[in-house]
Amino acid sequence: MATFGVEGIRYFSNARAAGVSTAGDLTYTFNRCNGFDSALRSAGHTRAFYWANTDCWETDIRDSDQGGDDVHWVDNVDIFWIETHGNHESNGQARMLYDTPHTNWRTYSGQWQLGENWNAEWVMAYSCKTVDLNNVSGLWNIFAGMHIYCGAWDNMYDAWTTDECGEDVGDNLTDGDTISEAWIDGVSDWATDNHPITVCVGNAATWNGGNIRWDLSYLNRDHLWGHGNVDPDLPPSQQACILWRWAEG
Amino acid sequence: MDGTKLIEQLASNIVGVPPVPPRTEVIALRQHSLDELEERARRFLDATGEAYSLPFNHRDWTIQNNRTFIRMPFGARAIIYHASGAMKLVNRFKPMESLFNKLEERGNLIELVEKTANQLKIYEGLGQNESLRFERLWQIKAAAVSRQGQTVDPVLCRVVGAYRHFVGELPVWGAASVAIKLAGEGELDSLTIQIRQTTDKVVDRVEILRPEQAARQVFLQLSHLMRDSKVPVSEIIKPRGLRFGYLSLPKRKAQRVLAPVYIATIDIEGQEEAQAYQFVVPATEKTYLPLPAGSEALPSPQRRVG
Repeated sequence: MATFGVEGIRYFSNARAAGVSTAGDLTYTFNRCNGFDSALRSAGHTRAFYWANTDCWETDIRDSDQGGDDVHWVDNVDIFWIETHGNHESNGQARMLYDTPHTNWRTYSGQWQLGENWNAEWVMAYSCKTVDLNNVSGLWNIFAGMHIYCGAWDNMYDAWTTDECGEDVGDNLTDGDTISEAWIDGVSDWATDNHPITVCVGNAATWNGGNIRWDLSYLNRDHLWGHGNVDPDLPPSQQACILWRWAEG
Repeated sequence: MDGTKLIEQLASNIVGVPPVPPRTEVIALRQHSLDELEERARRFLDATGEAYSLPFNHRDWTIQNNRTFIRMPFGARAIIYHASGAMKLVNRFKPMESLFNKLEERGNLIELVEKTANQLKIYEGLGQNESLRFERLWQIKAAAVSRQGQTVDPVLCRVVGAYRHFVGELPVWGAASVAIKLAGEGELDSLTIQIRQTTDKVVDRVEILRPEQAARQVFLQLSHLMRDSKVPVSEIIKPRGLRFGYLSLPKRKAQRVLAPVYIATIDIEGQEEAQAYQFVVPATEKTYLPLPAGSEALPSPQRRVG
């Protein structure tokens, strides 16, 4: 079975007061976080941590080699769910906001290396625009053994109609959906435009000279531990391509 | 742009319906027993299995917390949500199997979805004066790039046809009322039905608040969320329109009536963080339908020490 971590930030008053961001508070952050937590724990998975608001720190996801502490947090669990405001940089890096400068107000995915000697297989970020659909390669460095990054390529809505997304994703995972399908289906009500995307890396066999063997990719094969197949980690030296699957309306 | 102008802009951009009526009805919804829901599901699975020659007649039923989980052969499953009667059917495909041979024209895909909708008879069984209308086509695609920067053309994995339930001329907003997801060759990948069944009982006939009144409520809610921002809220808001109609709550929530609401979609652009909100406010003086409130985090057994 899996270990998981949850981080959710609903209030951004400190960031606004410091002039760091204009980010507004959210309303349904913990409806979703609690739903995801409940769905996984009901199925027997182990919650390693659940941090909220100013207890969420950017060092939790920043690589230990770069002064962070991911070895104890995000890279110490199989699956990590995070909710906060986000965007991406011009070079395709993901960027997310915190409400406390511990030690920085924002995280940049250029400082992430997940899955290296540690644990993380999957990250799920309910956060706007962390993936640049025109430059998905900008995320490549984060895959140090990690399998799939789930995020959004445009806005992701805080709405009464998305308040069950966490539980939907969690139920999909424990009902046996692949990680990719669980995310895209779980955050989509096919009315609100949530722009989901799942990103993974692949080896030479998957790239297959450009005639992609989609069936071999993590997008097609990975499930949550205990609910189906999980492929082995793919170290950077064996990564030949980056692949992504997204919904658009 | 100050608050006044934003309110005017929202109020003057009612999306998708004819003029907001001065009065409308609050309608009682049918409440189903678990037995009734399961009987509906059996009929639904029988009909779908027959339409697609799928082995949905072999079923293993499990009642869980707030839903019934039905496992079928070859990895197919169905779920009934007890609070709402919503149903979800998932066929056996993995996400990167049964892809479309090529990217198709939108018109062709809509035609394919409509053909499936007719085959599934989704338009039948609605109440008098009710209808189901095609709302939007979604596409799920995939692409890749190599280490050397070589790209491949996107492939089309799935299409989703989303339909909206109407009572009279009023849409019932919320998740898609019906969502039909198709794989390549038009094979049924999944089907979700989230339609609250109405009764003939009119709970009340109500006067509708003017759009300006609803827009003011939205502005007040948004201003509260963004209080103490160093940049005035009105300078960064991009309203995407105001919608009027009935509301169907998310599928794990029970609901006793259909009552009219306004829904505003607001994006925040040009800032470090992208932001996207939807607000729903009652369209009546009296509140007939309690709206989902924001939760707080679960208490953590750990204490964070910096």
